[in-house]
Order: sequence, then structure tokens, then C-alpha cells
Amino acid sequence: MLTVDALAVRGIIAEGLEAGAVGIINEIRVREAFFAGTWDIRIADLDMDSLARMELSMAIEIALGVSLAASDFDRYATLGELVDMLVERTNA
Amino acid sequence: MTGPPTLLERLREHAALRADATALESDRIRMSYAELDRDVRRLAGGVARLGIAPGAIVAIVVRGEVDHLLATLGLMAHGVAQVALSTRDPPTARGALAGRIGVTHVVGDGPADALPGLPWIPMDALRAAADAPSPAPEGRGDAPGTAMLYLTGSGTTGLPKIVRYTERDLAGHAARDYARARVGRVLRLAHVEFNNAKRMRLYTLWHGGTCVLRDGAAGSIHALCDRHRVDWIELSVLQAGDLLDACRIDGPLPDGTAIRVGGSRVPWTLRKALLAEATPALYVTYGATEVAAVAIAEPAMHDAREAVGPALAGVEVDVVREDGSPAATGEIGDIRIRAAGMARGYEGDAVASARHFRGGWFVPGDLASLTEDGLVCLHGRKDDMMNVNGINVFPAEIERVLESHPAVACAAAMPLRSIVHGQIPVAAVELRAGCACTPAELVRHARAALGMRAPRAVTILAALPRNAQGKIVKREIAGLAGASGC
Repeated sequence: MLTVDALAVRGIIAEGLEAGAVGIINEIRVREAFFAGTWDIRIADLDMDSLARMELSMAIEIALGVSLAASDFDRYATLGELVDMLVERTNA
Repeated sequence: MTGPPTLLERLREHAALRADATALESDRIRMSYAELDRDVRRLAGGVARLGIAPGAIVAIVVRGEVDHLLATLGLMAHGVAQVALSTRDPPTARGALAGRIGVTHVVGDGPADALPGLPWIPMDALRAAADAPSPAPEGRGDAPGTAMLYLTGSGTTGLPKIVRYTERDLAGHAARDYARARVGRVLRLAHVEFNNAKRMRLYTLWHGGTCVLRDGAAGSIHALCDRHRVDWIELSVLQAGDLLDACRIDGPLPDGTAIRVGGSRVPWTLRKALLAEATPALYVTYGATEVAAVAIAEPAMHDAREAVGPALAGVEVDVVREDGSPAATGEIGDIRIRAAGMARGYEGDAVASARHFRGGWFVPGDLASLTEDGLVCLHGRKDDMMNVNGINVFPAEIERVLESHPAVACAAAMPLRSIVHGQIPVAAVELRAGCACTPAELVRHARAALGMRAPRAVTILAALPRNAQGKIVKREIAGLAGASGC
């Protein structure tokens, strides 16, 4: 069974955000804090358009096999909540 | 008689008019057209003496290329239908194919080539029967040019498809192929048991050229070409890569040597390398077992569009939209092909026949576009076309971009099924020897050129899976990519 930890999932999310040109994830201070889990990011603050949501969704599906529609991201207030859900679903 | 002379009629013409011209040549034999015509007649007599009558369907399982070709022509001369079964296939696969075709006899090298329940004739026995002094039974009882040759597809898209042609159909194909090229001393590296390789050799004989047969000879291509003064080489894409490697050691091919590459997509990167390092006389061909040669790109036609040339004389090529209306210049659509002597369907496969033979056209399932100057450009298999959130993504465009990366030798793009997105484009690549790069680097490279149509994941494999003809088997890549963990 595939098991992933939160750090790996954070890496996958960061790649998906980069692919969707969500610039904030490339700010070193934000990135380091996100990977360290010391600073959560509100999904609404990412200002993701439909293409950015599509890229994030594809990155997650390819890496983890979890299918998420564009609107599914609105169910989670922060990226941390999204990470927790993905770790749980992938390791279930 | 309608159409061009049959293969056997042409052999007799060559034997009469150019008796000493070389028809077959290998390291072991040299056979003139007069000798070949005589041997073919004797073998036809041998077939008759063995009691094989027109109406029989004979499977050939013969490893020696000269013997294989002689058996082909001898059976044809006696009006007997035939099919080559690959010596590389396990007996069960040969048996299954023979059953689908209705094979009645097997001509093979040894007892291991026999198939359960079918009479087996050793090639030696056929030769002995050919040399027997007793008169052969007279008359084939069928019309000249009607002997059938069954050809089997590569099976890259499923169960091998089977088509059949008469000897006269093959003569028509031969007249079309090489129509604009000289036919001199032709080497085809693939074994004669492969359908394309067999047809090319029959075409060479139809035109009166010399078939140079490797026939198991070891050694470099350059040495083989030197020994037999080869001036035309027929290659698959895989073999073209090997030739390129050889040219990097032994230098370019001798002046005046032409090569023709076909069988699958010939990437621009490979074309450039062959033009620079092997020979400026590079031809690229597009064809299908179901119609024979369709188009040939001549040396001046190569560029990044990867055109396969204009349609050959006598071949109609259309590119159509989903609704059957003609595609505009440059617009990608379904290619459909029509030509005299093309197959009319697949043997024993009504479903595939209905899918690929429609309204008098053969629809291979390839995506293509036509340039303003009438060249055919291929964009991959329609089955491989991806629909990513409503956007059509063509495998060939991804493959071209990945192959433009200096570390990538070849690439194969394919879809990953997705409930949300429909399909997600992914790719696998084989790196050039001594080169290194990461999957992430390749994804970035592709994204810079393709944007949303880029593959979202790239897997690096030691070697892309290929079938015996060198075609990449995409169906096998998914499993390998999953196992690679890249």
C-alpha cells in the first residue's frame, strides 16, 4: 500500500501551484514555512483561477490518485487542511 | 489482363531480357534473374509433386532468407495461397494465427516448426521435390496473378490484423512504390518473414533490382554495404537509430547510398542526424499493410513538420473532420486513403473491418494534416489523441517537444484516464547514451513550449518497449512507468 507523509504531500501541492502559476508559493519565506508546517496558507488567499485549480488537481491526481474537481478545493479553508485530507485518503 | 504485369510475369521478363542481372545476393549466394526464374519454376513443380494444390494455404516458417523468398515465389507460381508465420513467435501464437487464416500445410526448417494437426513439409523435402526428375503435374487450375498472400499486421493496437492480396495486387503496389526512385541494389535489414520486408523484396524483384539479403550475416552495416555495393537501404526507425550509431564510428555511408525509413513516426531530430551523419539521400515513407505505400518524403522535404511527403501517384489521401467534411489546410483530422489494389477488409474480423474500411476508403486511425504544398504531416494515432478538459492534445506534438531536449533520444506520449479531467497527458522518454536529466526538468521543458498541452508527468525509462518491427508499444508503457517509480 502506498503511504505518503505530509511533507511529500506538501511537495506535490507546491508543484501543482507552481504549474498553475500561483506565485506566492515561490516566495522563499512562504515556501519554507509551508514545507515546515509552521505557517498555513488560506486557500482563498491563493487567488487561484480555474486554470490554477486544474493544474493543482492534475498534480494531485497523478501523484496520489485522488481526483478533485475545481470546486472541491473550496471545502478546505487552508492548504494544511487539504494536506491532512490527502494524507488520510492516501494512507487509508 | 488489367493493370501492371504480375510478379511472376515480370520475373520472366527480366529473365528473358536481363538474364545475367543479379536478382538475389547474400554472402553465400548470387542468383541471376535467369537462375531465379528457373528455380521458381522448379519449386512450383516441387509444390505440385508434394500434392499441394491451388486452394491450399501454406504457412512458411523458414529462417533462411533466400530459402524463404524462394518458397514464397515457388508457392505463388503454383497458385497456392501462403502466409509467413514468425519464427520469433512461440508455437502457440503461430498456431493461433494459422487457425484464423485456415492454414492447411506448413513448410518449415525442422520438426519444431510443425503445427498440431497440419501436414508439415521440411524445406529440404520441398527442394528435393523440386529437383525430382519425374514430370510435375501440369496446370495450376487458376488464373495467373490470383495466388493469395496473407499478411499479418504488427498487432501494436491489439490482435494482429490479417489482410490478403493477390499476386496481381502486389504487382500494382510494386509499380506505385519506388515509382520515382531508381531500384538498384536494395538492402532491407528486417527479415523477409516480416510482411513489409517481404513485400519490399518482391517489389525490388518486380522492378528488376537486386535484393541484397543479410541472411543472418554478422558484421556492420557499412561492411555489408561495401561487400554487396548496396545503394539503397530500407530501415525501420529503430534500425535507423542503429545505423546512426554505426555512422558515428564508421563514418557516413558511401556517396550515392540512399536510405528510406518508415514503419512509424520518424522524428525530426532523427532525420537531421541521419542527413548530417549518414547520407543526404534520406527518404521517409508512410504506408500501411492495408494499402501499401501511401507517401514518400524526398530528401528536400524534411523539416520540423516531419512531413511524410505527398501522396504517391495513384493514391488518394484526404484529411477529414469528425463529421466527414474536408479539413482545412493545416487542420488536424482523420486521414483516409484510397488506392487501386488496397485491401477491402480484415480476414475474420468484421468489427475491425467496419471500423477501418468505410465508403471505399481505408481509415487507419492516424491523425494527419495537409500542408499548403500538399505534404502529409502525421500527428499520432487517433486512439492516442487526448482530450484534456475539452482541449485536444496530440501525442506527436508532445513527443516532438520532448525529443527537442538534448538529453532525450525518443519519447512516447499517452493519456492517463481521469474522472475529473477526461485525460491527463503524460509521457515516457528514453535518454541518449551518456545523458542525464530529471523528469521535472523535462516537464518544465515541455511546459515552456506547450503550455496547457504539456505532459504533467514524464517518466524516464531505460528503453521504451518496442515490438519486433521497432514500433513503440504504448500499451506496455503504463505498466513500466508505474513500476519505475519516476
